Amino acid sequence: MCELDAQKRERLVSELAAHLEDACEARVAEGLSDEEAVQETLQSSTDWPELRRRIRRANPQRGFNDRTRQVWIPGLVSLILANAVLMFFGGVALKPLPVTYQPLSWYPGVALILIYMRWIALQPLTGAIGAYLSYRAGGDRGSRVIVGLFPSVVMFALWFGLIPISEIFARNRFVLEHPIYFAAGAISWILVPGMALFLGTIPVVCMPMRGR
Amino acid sequence: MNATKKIESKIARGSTELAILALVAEEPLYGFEIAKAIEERTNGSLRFTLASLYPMLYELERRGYIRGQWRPNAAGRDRRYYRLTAAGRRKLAPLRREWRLFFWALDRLAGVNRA
Repeated sequence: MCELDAQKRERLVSELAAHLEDACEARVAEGLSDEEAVQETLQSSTDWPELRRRIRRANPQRGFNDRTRQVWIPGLVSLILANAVLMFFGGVALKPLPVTYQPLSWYPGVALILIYMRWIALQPLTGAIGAYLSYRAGGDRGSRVIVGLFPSVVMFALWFGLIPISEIFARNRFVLEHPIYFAAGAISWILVPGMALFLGTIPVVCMPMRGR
Repeated sequence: MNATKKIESKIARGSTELAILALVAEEPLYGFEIAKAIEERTNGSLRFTLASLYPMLYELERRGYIRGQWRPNAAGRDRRYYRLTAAGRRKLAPLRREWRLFFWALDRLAGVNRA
């Protein structure tokens, strides 16, 4: 009905249904049969196009539209959060190696794994925050899942969009020559974080729609 | 003709707003109760349809004058009860004064109370 978001639409439908139910029961109490009460209620209830017009006027679109509030802004927040956490751990843990540390050539590898593990450990929180922001804005379950997984969705687009394009236009032969690295990267930066994000998104997805 | 219609529409709109705010100021009510109370108290002179009641409820809620909350009614069915907010209370007092003045002016002009 109208151009309302899912939350407002559900509320409106519930309220109108409750009103019609009460009106029908009042007519039965006045002595009408069930069938007569239903018919009279439906006939006298309202001018539906007029209701639609007035509801639209009572809910003017202001500022961002629903998709922006429920998907794009929370998605952007979770993407920024995921990257900020990675940058923070990177900045804290990765220091330029002094020359004297040269023999410990294994150090950067271990440090990177530690950064990655800490980052992955925080991804459920990132997913939960993004999904919760979508929920607060009235996002339905689908929107909350998309927002929760948003950092991985963006990474997926970069990985399978930009890298193949660079293959063609920049004549970057890396992927063709090292398909295992490409696949390992996809698993490390898309699949595993995606699963961690989804883990945090689940409780928010299970929450009932707001407004009722 | 158009100007007359506009005035009629503004009067209807203003009176709906006042009626709803005044009713929910007494106690929290849900949509059907509001419509029923208005009809009963005016001996059927004023009747609200779904098209006039719910859009106004949503607009008043959007403007922060009333707040709706789902809770079970006496029969145990979930209904959205509306109650007056502090902003609504601040709005209601001048609105009552405006309408009193309007009827007083109309009475002086056309003797509506004596008709």
